Parts: sequence; C-alpha cells; structure tokens
Amino acid sequence: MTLQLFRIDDRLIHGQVVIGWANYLNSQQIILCDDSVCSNEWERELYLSVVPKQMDAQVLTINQLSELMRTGSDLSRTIIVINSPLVLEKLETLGVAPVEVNVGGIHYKEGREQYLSYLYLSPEEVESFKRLIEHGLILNCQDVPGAKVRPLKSVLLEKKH
Amino acid sequence: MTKNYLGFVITHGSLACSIKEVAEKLIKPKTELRCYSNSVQVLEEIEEEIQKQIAAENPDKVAIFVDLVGGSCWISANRIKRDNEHIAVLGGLNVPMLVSYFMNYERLEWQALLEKVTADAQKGIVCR
Repeated sequence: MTLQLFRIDDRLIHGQVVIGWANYLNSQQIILCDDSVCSNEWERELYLSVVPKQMDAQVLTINQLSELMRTGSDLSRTIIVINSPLVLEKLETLGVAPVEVNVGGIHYKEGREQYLSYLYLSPEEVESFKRLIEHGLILNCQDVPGAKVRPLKSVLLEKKH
Repeated sequence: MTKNYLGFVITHGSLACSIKEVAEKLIKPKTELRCYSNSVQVLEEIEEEIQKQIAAENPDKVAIFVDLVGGSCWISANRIKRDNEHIAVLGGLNVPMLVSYFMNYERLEWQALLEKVTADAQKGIVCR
C-alpha cells in the first residue's frame, strides 16, 4: 500500500498540515483518524471546515481507518493524521501500521518533557514510541517540509545522555 | 455609553503582541485587546483563560482575531466561539484589520463593525 504521508501531530489538521504538507506534496485527501473527534459531530465539522475545498477530507475511527487500509485503497495522494503513538500501536495491533511515519508535532503539556522544539513526550509516549521502533517502524521527526529530518531513535537516545 | 465588548488576539509565535503594538502606534485605541501566543502558552490553556474571562466579565460581544484561517489558533478560537453568536472569530489578521477595529469600535454597531473591519483588512492587501 502506497501512502503519501502518515503523520503524528497532536494538533491534527492545522496550518502545517494543510498549508505546509498538503501543498508541498500536492495531496488530494486528508484523513484524520481519532475516535474522540469522530464521535463529536461539532469537532468533526470544525476540522473538516479547515480543509481547502479542492481537497477531500474525512474523519475516521481507528477501526474505520484499519478497514480502509486493509482494502488496499489508493492512498498515494493522501495524508493521514493521528495525534499519538498510542493510536499507531492500536493500528499495529489491527495489522495495518504504515512502514514509515512522520513525527510532526506533540506539544507541551504537563507531564511531558522536551525532545525537540516541536516534540514533547510523556514517559508513556516514549515507551510507546520505543515499542514501535523495536517492531521495525521507521519514525522520522520533521515538523514542516524542508526541515531537517531527525530519526526518532536518535532523538530519544540523545535525550538519554 | 461605553461598549461592553472584549477583544482577543491569538496567533502563532510572538505575532499577537507585536501586531497589536504596531496598530497602537498608528491609532490610540479606545479599547483593549488581550494578546496570546501559542509559543508562550499551550492552546488548551489559552482557550481556558479566555473562556474564564468571558464568563467572569459577561461582555455583550467578543472579537477574537487570529492570524491564520485553518491554523491551530483558528481551531482554538472556534472552540471558544462554539455556538455563541455574540462571539466573532476574524481570521487573516493584518495591521489594517486591527487599526480598523480601533478606529471604528465606538462609531459602529457590532455587525457593521465586523463588516468594516473585514473589508478594511482585505483592502489592505495590494500587489502592484
């Protein structure tokens, strides 16, 4: 399955995704995968309203996304956005994790430590990322197109020292 | 009679306070704008703070200016607005937008003020 960009970003759909990545990659579709947003009609409509009219957009649950990925749909011009490595682990359990993942932004909140200017992680998130790395997923940190790509594995290692 | 309106600016980086300062150098404002930066505070905190102020001060109208339509500040401002018709979110912030808000704040009624501010912001974009 060819997937244009699979991104972890706790702000989900916002300027970096719509103006940055979607323009740069000439994407046709954005899929937001989040059970909580999906169950809240108001939030769902809010996120869909910020996607430019020329693009398709949908909000899916984790189960719905796993179904879509399993059917082998053409996602070669699609950006998928999730907000946490824990969602990625759930997708992995369902047997549909992508090979390569863009770690685009997890922002500060209490209980998280800084790893990069746009990457703050809680101990639970660090452990989750470590498991994903161990399972062979390629996780690269890059907030916007053109920015330096940093393998998450080295970012986590550097923080240790 | 003094208007009971509240105004907020939420932007990426340090733009909010800087653009407010620039506009205030061009016209002495008759109303205060409270600025918030997503690089200083997390957006959830900003949302909560503004909601508390709105609840405590019970303004007739609220204007929230944000820099980028569709950006994370826009999303937060719309969460604050939700279904409240007395709150307006104005995206695409520029200096003429704020100058117009300051200039017309006392003179115009709410709806006319919003229309004037939006039109002046758009008129401020020129390419030659």
